[in-house]
Amino acid sequence: MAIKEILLWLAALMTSGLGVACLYLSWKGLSAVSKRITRIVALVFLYLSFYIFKELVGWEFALVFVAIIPVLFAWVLTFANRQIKNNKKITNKVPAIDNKTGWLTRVKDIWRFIVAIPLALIISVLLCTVLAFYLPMGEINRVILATFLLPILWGGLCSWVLADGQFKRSGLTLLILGMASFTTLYLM
Amino acid sequence: MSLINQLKPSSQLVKTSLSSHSWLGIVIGALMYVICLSGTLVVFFEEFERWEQPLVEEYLDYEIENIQSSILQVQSKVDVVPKTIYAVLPTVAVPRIHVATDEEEWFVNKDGSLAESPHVPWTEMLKELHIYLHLPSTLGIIIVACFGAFLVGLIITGLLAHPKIFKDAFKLRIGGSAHLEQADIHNRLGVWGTPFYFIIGLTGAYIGLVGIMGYSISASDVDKSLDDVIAAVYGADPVVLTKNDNTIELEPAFEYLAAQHPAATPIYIAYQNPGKDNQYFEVAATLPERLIYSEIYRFNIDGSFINHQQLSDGAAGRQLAYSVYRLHFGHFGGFGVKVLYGLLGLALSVISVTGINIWLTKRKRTTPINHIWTGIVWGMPTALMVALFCSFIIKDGLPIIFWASLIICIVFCLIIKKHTLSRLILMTTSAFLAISVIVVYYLIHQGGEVTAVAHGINLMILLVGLITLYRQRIQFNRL
Repeated sequence: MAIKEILLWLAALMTSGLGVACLYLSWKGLSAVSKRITRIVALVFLYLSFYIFKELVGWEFALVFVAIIPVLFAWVLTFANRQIKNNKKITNKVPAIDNKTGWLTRVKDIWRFIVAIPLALIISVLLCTVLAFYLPMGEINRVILATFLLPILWGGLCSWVLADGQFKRSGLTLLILGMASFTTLYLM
Repeated sequence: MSLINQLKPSSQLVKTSLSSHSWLGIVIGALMYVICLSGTLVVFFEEFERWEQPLVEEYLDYEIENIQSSILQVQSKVDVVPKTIYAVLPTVAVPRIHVATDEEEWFVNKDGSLAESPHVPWTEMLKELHIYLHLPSTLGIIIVACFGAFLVGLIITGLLAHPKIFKDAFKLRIGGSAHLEQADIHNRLGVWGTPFYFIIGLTGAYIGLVGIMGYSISASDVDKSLDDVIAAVYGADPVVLTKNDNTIELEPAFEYLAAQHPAATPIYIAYQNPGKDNQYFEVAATLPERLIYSEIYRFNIDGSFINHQQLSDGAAGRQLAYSVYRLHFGHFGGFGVKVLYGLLGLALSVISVTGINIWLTKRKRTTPINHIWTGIVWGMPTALMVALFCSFIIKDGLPIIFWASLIICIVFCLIIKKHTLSRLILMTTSAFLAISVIVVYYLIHQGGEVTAVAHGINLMILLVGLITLYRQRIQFNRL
């Protein structure tokens, strides 16, 4: 590896670290300037880091690096900032407050599971299949985008069903969505 | 009002998101942990394969004619002519050549002669655990892909359920309330690593669910079969009309690549339909600064260029689809990236564990679920070490040994009924097994020239074993 390349790697890592350090200083209120300016400086450092990575390994790898490398610096700073409370002797005792669930709750949980996981999956597959035919782009891009959307859509629907207290409403909405998608595919 | 305050979710949204996040996390937590921890180790599968067979000849420079000769040897060696013969070329990560059909595989010596077959039972067990959960392959990959989608769902709800995401950005409280400690570890590891976890969840889900989408699209369109959909996405096979003889000419193809695509580094050769009228071969090559797994260049059997598969310069969707493998497994940018992926994967495993721990501390009562969870968390490393130890003795059946060991660990924790003691015993067992593995390894391979990578892995195993023993000694003194 050429010396220039080594220096560029170090610069990329350093700017990435400085970006996170600025965020930390702003968070801690230790910055000499205002928090807003410190955050802007942090973003500038992170962009610089991306730019240097791009020069080194191209923009595709640079995007990945700039998304994952600052994480390590953030964890190190978080660990350095840890507050240690009094270290109690480890016991196996757990406070005994009863939190038992009745059979009705269990039935509701099973219904929740069915709607949120298998039903939401089927609906997502149907919806994404419709998208694979109707998105306004070339065939390959349509198919790939629809496939990438599948986990996002399923994850989103699943979360919405679980977050929504009214299971009848979420179940019914999913069924309507599914019927509409199926009809679109059938009539195609 | 500042932008951050405007973006702050309502308290009702936070409450429902938290409920949804907890519910989904509890349902999938255990298997998510198994997938994450095995995935963390799978990042290093190339190193583990070299560790399991340390005496195979390693080299980076090779003669094209020797590769050609090894392919012809395979052709003459097999009883039934295979559909494809692969010759996997050496890379810095795996400086070994091996040739393979769909059923058989051999390493290639530097002189082109065929050497022993790969035998890496533990690494295979680990890969199959991560990719299929040891289930039949089609079902297994779909189930694992579903966990990728759940991870995406957990990220969405996790972020919505975290109203103090900026306020708590660097906060970590250790040693006080168990619930607070677990929540802080879960949130700090989770929030900062979100981009990585999203990439892993999305690419993992894509790898497994692309088949379902293919079936769904082909079933919806009478004019399309599944093969048509796959061909549309990844590129169709070329139409070739060549003379029907068995002589494959690699030299002109490599000369063509060196002249026309000097930046391309060949990683494997796939000899398609050997001996048939439509035979041809493909040279897959990595390109600098590209995340795509490879570009594939197609050649007639005489080495004349046909076309390339347009994986590097075709539709954006095709390029994206072919980039998911390197992104998911961290196989780009050298060993440093693997270490980074390993650390982030380990963090995701810790997040899976702390998520369930938060729920357990909130329940405020101890039931068998607590002990089962202890058995899963601390039994998993033990079961992996048991399987690794057994891989020296037996050839097949490692998945059964792994699952049986895990079940034994769970039952053991259910009998002991003391979290700290169970963890101490399981981790001490893992540490002793790790040290025993190294002793047995050197006994088996004494006299042979073990590679530096193998020594490096042994050193890592030893360090992990010793650190675990030291940590357990501290825990023992606290009991």
